[in-house]
Amino acid sequence: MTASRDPDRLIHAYFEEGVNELPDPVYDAVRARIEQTRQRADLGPWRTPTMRNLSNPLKIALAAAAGALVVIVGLGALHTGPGPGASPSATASASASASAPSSAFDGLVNAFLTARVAGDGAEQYLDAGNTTADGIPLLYATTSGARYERAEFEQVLGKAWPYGWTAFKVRLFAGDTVVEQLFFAGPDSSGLNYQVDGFGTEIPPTSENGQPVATSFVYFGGSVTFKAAHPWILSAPNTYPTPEGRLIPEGPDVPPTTDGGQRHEGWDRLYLIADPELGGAGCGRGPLSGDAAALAQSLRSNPDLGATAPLAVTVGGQQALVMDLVIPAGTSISVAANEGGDLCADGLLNAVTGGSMAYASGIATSQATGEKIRLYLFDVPAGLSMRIMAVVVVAPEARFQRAVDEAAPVIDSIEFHVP
Amino acid sequence: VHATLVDQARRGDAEAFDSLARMVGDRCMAIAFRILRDADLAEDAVQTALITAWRELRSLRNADLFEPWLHRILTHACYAEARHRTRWAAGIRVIPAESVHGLDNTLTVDDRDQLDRALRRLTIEQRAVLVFHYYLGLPISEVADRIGIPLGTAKSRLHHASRAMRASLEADARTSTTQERMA
Repeated sequence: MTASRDPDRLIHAYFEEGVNELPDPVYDAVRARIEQTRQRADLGPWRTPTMRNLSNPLKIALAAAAGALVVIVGLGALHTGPGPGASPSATASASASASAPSSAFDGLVNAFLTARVAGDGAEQYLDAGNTTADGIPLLYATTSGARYERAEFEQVLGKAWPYGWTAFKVRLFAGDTVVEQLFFAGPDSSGLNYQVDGFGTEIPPTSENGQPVATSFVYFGGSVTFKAAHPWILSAPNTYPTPEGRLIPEGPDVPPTTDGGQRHEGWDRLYLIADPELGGAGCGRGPLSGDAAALAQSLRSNPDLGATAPLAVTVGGQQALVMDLVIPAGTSISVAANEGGDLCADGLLNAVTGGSMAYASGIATSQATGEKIRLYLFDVPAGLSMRIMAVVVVAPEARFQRAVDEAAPVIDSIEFHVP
Repeated sequence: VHATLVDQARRGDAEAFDSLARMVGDRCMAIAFRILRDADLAEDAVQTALITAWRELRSLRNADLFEPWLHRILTHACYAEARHRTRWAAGIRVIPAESVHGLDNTLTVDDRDQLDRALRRLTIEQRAVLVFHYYLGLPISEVADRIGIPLGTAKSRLHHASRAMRASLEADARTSTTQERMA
């Protein structure tokens, strides 16, 4: 192979190869299935969930049978069963269970919660695809280690769950402590499904006495850890060069986050960037400045960035510089880009770049969105693969304070780990 | 044509949906195969996506956007297939005869193997971004929209995935150059 060959063209060529035809039997199978599948009523714009393609009706049937037994003998978990918009009851009772509307999954949820109260065997009622790295938080005990004494659940049908998914809010009691969690089940599920981000709904995936329970995240190959809780949704750790958090919106004018495919648009963000770049040609250059102070000064001296003076602060026991940046909407800004014209992942201004992009010689020029940036710059301890870490909080002026406030506990929990 | 069929299908016309499926099925298969690199898994993903699309069709606001909407469903169906089935057996395919070391921008056996290996090391989400960008030729903003992820996330995934793919080719180039020098 010669060094002059164009990698991008080769990648294009690679993707040109492959299967391009859907066999007829698949069309026939689809036709047969849709003849028997009722279309869902249009209740609102749907989000697109992770779909399950599992089928284990036997397991669900067995769980349902087990659940029925639980109700009869009055053990553990009971369905409080209010439908959409109904107030949850803190007191489970057999009569409530008998009179309440029920779902096909009541038995499954009952069996699951009964096992949790018993302290063993709950995992068997989880969806086979529910392989979250950290498992289910507080599965058998509260944060303090107290074992659960009883449980109840309600179906939250008020949400426009797509694809036939049913959602359940479960409640486990240990003395004065109440743990609430959100689970899902669908027609093809082999069990209950827990999502670390709760599918980004208004309901925290796990809360304890009303407070969302934080999840630990590890980024940059173990160099950086922090904790984040609902209403943040974090990208998968160690997957992307710039970890990103998205803030679930709130307010009377905000459509429910259970709504459709546009639910990610307009969300405020938080980024962690190692050795941030500002601009200049090409990706993969070294750090812009030797340390946080030099970078802050460089930003401050750039009249296009509208940067405030850096302020020394202590966050989570660590020194940092904090400053705000705002580039008026529509301002033409140039940032580094790769040879395909896409912005460098570590670009400090990527987060406030919008609209169409013009690319030339490693520089991408676009328009500023006008959003505001709260920037924290850390000098990281020696021995790590980066010298500076930036934490970037991005939101329009109207939502900026909320984003900054919500980001505070996340930033406070940041820890650097030298190998 | 799409919009008319979509409207008919939205009113429960299975025949119309069948016609619609046959119009878009091949492209869906091409996308799914390139994300999953397994024809059986890709067929299952397309089947799941089409059935889901039928079930949820009434939620589609704009009939003209049927295909992008379907592609988003398909992408998630691919994620589900990849996560629930871990058999990543190498596909058997007919490889055209060619020189081991290409002198132009033709894909060689070595290139293909390197890219295959690089692709399999990527997450399924990163692969999806690559396929929509490189195979469908969509700009990254449209990729983000079609898959239903924030633009920053799409850029990040593309950056990481492209770099990995290019690195695999460059590593191969270095190896080849060294071997040629030694010979």
